[in-house]
Amino acid sequence: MSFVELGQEFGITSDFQYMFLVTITIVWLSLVIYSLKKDGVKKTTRYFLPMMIAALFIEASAVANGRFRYPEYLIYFNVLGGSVPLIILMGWSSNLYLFLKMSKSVVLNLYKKINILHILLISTLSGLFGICLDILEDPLAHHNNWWIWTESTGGVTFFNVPFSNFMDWFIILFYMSLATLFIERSGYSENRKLVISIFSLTVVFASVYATHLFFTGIFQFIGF
Amino acid sequence: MVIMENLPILILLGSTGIIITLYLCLTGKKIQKEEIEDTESDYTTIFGISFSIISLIYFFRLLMMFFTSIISRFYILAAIGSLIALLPLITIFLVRYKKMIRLKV
Repeated sequence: MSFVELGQEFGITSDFQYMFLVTITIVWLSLVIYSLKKDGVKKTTRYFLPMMIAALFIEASAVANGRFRYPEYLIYFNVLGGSVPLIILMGWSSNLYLFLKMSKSVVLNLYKKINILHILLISTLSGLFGICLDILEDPLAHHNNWWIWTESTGGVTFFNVPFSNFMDWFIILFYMSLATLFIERSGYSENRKLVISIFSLTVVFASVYATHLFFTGIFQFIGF
Repeated sequence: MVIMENLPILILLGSTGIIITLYLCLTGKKIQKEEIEDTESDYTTIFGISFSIISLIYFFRLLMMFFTSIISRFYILAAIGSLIALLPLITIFLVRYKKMIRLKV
């Protein structure tokens, strides 16, 4: 299995997949162009690239574990025994930029002090905003076979999407926003910030996985 | 579990990443002041109405998903999901509205 693979079939069993592809491509391109104009190349790379790498590893491990699969896309990336389409990575990086900016605009108007609480508030709100959009997007994706939940994790589902999916959205966006904000406010040079943002992904990945296991265990224990 | 199968390589990668991150954080010189972003620069005024470009892009994504759920005949989701997905925009609007009122007073 090579790192990059081209899909043999495209959109045969899925419905309106082109709508999803067009939407994410337009959103991703608009945000990248906007960020390049506003923040420059280095900052834009720092906002988008680490999230794409993190999403690749997190999504690939979920696919390899049989939680869900992505059928019939054009370009796939393979790591840890799971295949993830390029469009999903673009979607995740636009999610981080969108929700980080939106939550910043709310928190900066409500809480002016610049401290750890400020960073925690922005990260929490970013995760909550992410859930709000995913409540519309994930059931629609499952309904139209854009991605398929192969494993019923049991417990509560929302239009056949397991509750743990929404919890994971919050966890991923929370930790990625936290890391992005801490690095952004570290005061180091842009080059160093970029390198730290790539290497610190291991810390983010470990935190995401540990938190996921912790809450999954609690929810399974109480039968939720 | 794929994580368990790849545990040795993941531990190696994880440890390397943590050590390099710590090294970069501890040895780096702070050359810039803490950056506090000016979110007002995200706003643009068209025909006298102030729009946040980020919120507009989010609204476009929401609208496309709403439209897709309608043509997929998934009407319940279109109604419930879209209302929930509108909450971030409503929050931003209310916070900004409150700020404008405060500035006028």
